Amino acid sequence: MPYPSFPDSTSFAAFDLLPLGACLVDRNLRVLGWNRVLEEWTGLSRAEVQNTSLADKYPHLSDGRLRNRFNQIVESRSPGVLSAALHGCFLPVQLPGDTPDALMVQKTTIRPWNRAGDVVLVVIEDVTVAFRQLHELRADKHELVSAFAQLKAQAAALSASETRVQAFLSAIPDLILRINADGLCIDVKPPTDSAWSAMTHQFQNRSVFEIFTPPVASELVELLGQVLKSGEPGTIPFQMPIAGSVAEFDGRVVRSGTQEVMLIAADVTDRRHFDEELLISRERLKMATDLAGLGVFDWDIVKNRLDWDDRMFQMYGVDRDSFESAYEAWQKTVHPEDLLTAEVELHSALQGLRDFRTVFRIVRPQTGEVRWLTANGHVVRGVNGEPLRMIGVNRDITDRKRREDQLAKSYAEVKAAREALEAHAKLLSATNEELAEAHRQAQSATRAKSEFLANMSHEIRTPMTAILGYTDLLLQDEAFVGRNPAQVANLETVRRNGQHLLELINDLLDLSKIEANRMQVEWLPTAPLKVVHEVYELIKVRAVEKQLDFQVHFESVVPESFPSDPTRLKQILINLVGNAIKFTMQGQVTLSVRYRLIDEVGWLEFAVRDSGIGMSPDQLENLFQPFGQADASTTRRFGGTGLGLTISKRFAEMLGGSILVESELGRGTTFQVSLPVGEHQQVRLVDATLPAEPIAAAPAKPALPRIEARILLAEDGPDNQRLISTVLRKAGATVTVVENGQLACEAALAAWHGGSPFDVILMDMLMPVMDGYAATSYLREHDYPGPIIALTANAMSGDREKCLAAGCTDYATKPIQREQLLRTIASALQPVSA
Amino acid sequence: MNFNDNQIDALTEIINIGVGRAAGSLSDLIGERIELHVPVVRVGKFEDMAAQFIVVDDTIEAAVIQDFRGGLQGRAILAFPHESGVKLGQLILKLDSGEAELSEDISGVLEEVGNIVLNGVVGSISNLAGAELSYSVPKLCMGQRIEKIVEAEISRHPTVEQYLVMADARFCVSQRDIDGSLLLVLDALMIKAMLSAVLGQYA
Repeated sequence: MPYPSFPDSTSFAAFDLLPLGACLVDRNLRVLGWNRVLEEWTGLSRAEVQNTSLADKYPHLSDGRLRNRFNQIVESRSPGVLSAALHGCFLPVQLPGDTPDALMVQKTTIRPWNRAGDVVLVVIEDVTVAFRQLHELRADKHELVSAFAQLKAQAAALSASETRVQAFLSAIPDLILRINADGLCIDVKPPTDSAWSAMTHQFQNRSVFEIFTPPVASELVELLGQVLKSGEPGTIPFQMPIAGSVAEFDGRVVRSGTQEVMLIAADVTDRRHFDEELLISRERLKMATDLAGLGVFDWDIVKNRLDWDDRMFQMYGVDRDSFESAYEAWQKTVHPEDLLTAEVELHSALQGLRDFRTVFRIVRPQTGEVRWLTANGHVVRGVNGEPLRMIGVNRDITDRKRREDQLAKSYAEVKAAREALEAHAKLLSATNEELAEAHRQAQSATRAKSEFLANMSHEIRTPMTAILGYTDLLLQDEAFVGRNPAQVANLETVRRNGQHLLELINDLLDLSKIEANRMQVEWLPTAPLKVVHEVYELIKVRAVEKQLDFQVHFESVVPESFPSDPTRLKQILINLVGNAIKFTMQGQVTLSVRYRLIDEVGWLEFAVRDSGIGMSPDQLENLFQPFGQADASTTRRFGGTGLGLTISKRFAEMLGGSILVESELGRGTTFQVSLPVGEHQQVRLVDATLPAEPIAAAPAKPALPRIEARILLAEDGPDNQRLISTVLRKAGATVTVVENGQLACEAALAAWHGGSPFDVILMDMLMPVMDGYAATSYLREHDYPGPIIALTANAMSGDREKCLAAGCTDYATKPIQREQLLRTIASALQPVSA
Repeated sequence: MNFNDNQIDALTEIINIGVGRAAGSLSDLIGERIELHVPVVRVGKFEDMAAQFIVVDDTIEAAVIQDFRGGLQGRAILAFPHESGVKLGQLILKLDSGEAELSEDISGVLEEVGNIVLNGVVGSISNLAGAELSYSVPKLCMGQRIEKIVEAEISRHPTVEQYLVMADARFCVSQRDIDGSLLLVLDALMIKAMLSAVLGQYA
């Protein structure tokens, strides 16, 4: 294979004739020849490129893969090809009318031009079209492949479901015809196991009028129309002459397409010939009856033939030989008194009203012996429901009957004796019981009412918490007060009335509790000095407001401590002193305390005197009755519930004491509370005066404590959640809110185990899922050490006990009072040792 | 005439030198390591070896052919069974494996690969033979029976006794083994002379 005989570049012009790009270059890509096609493709004329290196014009030729390959080929001094897929193009050529980055795809062949191998011929072929087609083909092919795969899957699914349908159909023993709207049978599924299933194939493509008798066909066409229209399946029983006899079918017609139905025809010919079946049943029945000691009868009603088995003959005491084998033979043996009933039952059964089941007596013909029998029978019916025969059993229950009768008789005797005794006893106790009952009823009516109220405690107080709390928040919001001076007065009214309502509720509830016997007093060491001091501190503000002189006098030494209930005592005194201030327009109110000895028993007496309006003897009479304020006008003038005195009196009585009142209209009133202190010898007496300073002037209200703590609030009511967390956050606390006891336990334990426990848990006592008592107990059982403060609307002492018993550190009452709450939290936060 | 083991070993060695160089060039081109081995070489008369074609015959789809003339004359063929050709093209072009055809781009790549391998092998032989050769441009031949391609070359020089060298060429790309067949139709005298020279040198 000689080298091409073009010794110089001028002769290279012959390459202009080729439809390929062609150039001669040396190993440095310096151009020695450049044909016309390349001029067209590159826009570079032969003169422009002659003797210049292509690497200067085309950077991709200066190094990289293409240049390496080029060098390799030149080096090998043998021809090489540059495939389009690996190299794209040898010379970049912008294709006309295409996007700017569309370059010609080129296949390039390089071969040595001279013997020295330092000049090579580069021939470039445009293979863009082939490549484009290839890529389009590939895209098409991908689509085709996926479309094909889809088709295949569909076909597989179809054939699978068709197979299933076929399998399903072939499992049905019935004849199935697909019939179109024109009444043409378009498909046949022959019945299985039928002698004539082969002939049903000829139904294919026949009209129903060719398949069925005209009346059946007409009925079927009508039904077909209905089924197609409504979509509801229909039934059609029909007969069809087949193979010389008549077969009976139960047909069901169901819609199987918009324009076709399926007729599913079950051959019931055999079902209606039941004799064979019956024989088998009778065999089984016999075995069963032998075991159970039953006699079996079989009465052919049509022929009036009655068959008995051996046991029947024994039972009836009749010889088989003399038996007439007819209904009348039985009739004769039945006890005359029972015959009517037995026959009525029998005929009811024959008419299909109910099963034959009855009890009757027979008289054995030879001995005259009377026996009790039960009978059960089943009626066998023909095609039209007519009774054909009755098969049934008898059982001799004479012995059982006798035993039962005896038992019933003894029972009746015993019962009679017992009733006589009871009647006697009743007479004796009747009087007592009636009396007690009347009393119980009277009491329970009152208690029911009171219990209802006591139980309502929580529900009534909770909304009050929200009302008063938010009112307070608004009134404490200085920005709000500044902007809305007019509303402040309105809010004050809301607060005042709210507080009044709350007092009312509290009093009412206390009273209810007392009346429901649910109020308890706690017997604790009670320091009278301390109680009086607290009452003084609380009340004096009101006295100062009314410009009344309020004084406390200790008229003797008093016990340092005595067993009583400090809470109740305080409540009594606050009520009495509060009333005194309320009903006194001017002058003074004094609280005097003294210790008295009566028959070696110490008594403590608290006397509250005012210079107020006083009361008439009439008014005094009703004073301690509930709602017994002196008169209705007093309520309007002074407010209050009128329950305070009633409650105070009950409390005093519960503490073993009493309250007395002396009054003169216009001159003032004195209430005196007397409480037992205990045996004189055991009482330690102290000199008592109130601390000097507090009396002198009302101390400045101490600032609210800052609570810089992490607090877990367990509270289910959204209003209270918001209110309490607002109060706490304002005081500087970080609050986490959960809505039931269970969540509280989870949160508290998680925080504790996580090493950053909550500083305080505020636990509402009544919550859904798990209440506060349960939650607190649970936490304490799990050794939870932190303080838990109970929040309860049940402000009375029993509840407090319950909270503390559950493991609470302290408790705060609802409605939430900001100051009280914050102080309670603050004291809980202090270390126990402090 | 038969070749003894030494001669076969020598021939195997010579061819492996050529494919080794080709593998280097291929790796450079593709930017990924390609290994190429020719583990077993058989050599003999075309008629004696015809039975072996039966095995490859039907499955060969793509063959790259380069003829050489000059001091040594003959034909070098690198043939791929259909699947191997497609697979090799896919691995080099990093196409997804859904492609099942020896399409335009894949056959172009096979042509270039064949070009490199054959130049390497024939170059190695011509170096040892000290022959100066001129080569034809590589030609891709699709769907032809491989024995026809061999026969065509043999029949062109009826007076010269020619041998056929057959070898399995095993490409290893991206941890995948791809088998092709390397065939050389060579002047019998040249082979013997060359092998004598080589063995003499090393003897």
